[in-house]
Amino acid sequence: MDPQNPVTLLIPLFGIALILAAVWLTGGARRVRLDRALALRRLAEDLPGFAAGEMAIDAEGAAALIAPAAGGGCAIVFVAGDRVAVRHLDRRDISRVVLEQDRLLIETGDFTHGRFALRLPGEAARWASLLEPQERAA
Amino acid sequence: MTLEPRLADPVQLAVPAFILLVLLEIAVTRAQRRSAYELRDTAASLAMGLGNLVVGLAAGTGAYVALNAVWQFRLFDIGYHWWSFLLILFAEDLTYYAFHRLSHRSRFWWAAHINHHSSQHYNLSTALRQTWTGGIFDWVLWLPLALVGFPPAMIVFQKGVSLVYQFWIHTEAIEKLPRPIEAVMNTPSHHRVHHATNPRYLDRNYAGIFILWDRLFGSFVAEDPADPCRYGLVRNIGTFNPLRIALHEWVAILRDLRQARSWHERCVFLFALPGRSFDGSRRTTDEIRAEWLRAAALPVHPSTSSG
Repeated sequence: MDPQNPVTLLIPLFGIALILAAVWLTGGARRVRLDRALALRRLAEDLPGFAAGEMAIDAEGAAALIAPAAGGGCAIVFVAGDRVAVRHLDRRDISRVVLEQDRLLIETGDFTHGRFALRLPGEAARWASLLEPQERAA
Repeated sequence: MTLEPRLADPVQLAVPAFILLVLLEIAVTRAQRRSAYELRDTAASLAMGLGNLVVGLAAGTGAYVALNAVWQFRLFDIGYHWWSFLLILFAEDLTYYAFHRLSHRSRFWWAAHINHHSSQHYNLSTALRQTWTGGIFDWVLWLPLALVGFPPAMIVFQKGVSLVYQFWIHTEAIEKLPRPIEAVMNTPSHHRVHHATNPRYLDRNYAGIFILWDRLFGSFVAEDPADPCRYGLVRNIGTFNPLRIALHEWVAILRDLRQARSWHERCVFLFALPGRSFDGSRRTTDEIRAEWLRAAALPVHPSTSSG
């Protein structure tokens, strides 16, 4: 990019606008919805040693909490656009758990995705107690 | 010290072609009913590319001054000839290989490079997901070329050529090229392997233009259709915020350094293989591969092997 020549900045800016419009027009704003099979597949790929036990999927399909079959921290599978990512949630990683009726809010220190909100009708309180941060859980 | 006049910037010249090729790939993948592009992922990649251009303005000037300073002490007067352009094609590509390998094997360098691997998509826009921080220091590895005697303008030009070459290999639209090309050149197939997180593919195929270096230095793995590439990071990020994409590994390093109990631990957290930890909370790519190999070598129990 040449600071003396504004065209060298305008071309990339125009290109970005054109590309984003094309992606949007071709259905690029889609979002994946988690189901049990997808959550388990990604869990097996990203955390291969994690033996899955009980699972709770957010009502909007945006995240899933998975308890291990044999104790220890939980895993969370969450949607990022049309892909998903996975985190192992050890109690020491969790800074705050907030329960608001059916809604469970989990905060961690993760710089790239540190806040998870799940709507878990009928299950939120039980999962909140499972995830209580270490110092408060003791 | 007077700076050598620069040659044309291949990246700047290629920007319109980058835009057209991305649009073409969007159309092709749409026609194939594949979900190659996602809006926020693409926006993040393009923002990273634009940011890299802006940061490159300042960092590039500093690097150019450094190259010129070292060039004053050059061992040979190589100058501008047809053979010197041929020579630097290979010399710069070998330098790139070393830089790229280091960028995956030392956490300090990885912190600047990780953003390029942070998309779970693999398309031409991924090529533009470039570093915002690497340009501040990565030019150090190119100084030996100036010391040998390659003119600084030629080095910068060839770096641009390499970047332009590496754009088109970020695609799934091209499967395999004819065998002689796959044998010598870095291709979409070889580079898909490089971006994959499957244990067999981790930290392989560091090539820029010529795949020969990987074959020579034992880091080559061919794409196996039986093990389709899964793209992204071992621990994928969950953000499309360009600032977080650019800085997240630096933040992670700072957090580790704060908790380190000795200088040995600080050095490991800063310079050792990414993923090294002292509490087993994360794994290196070598450990992931070793684990996978152990699992693959396990004999299948007769009672579970039959269908």
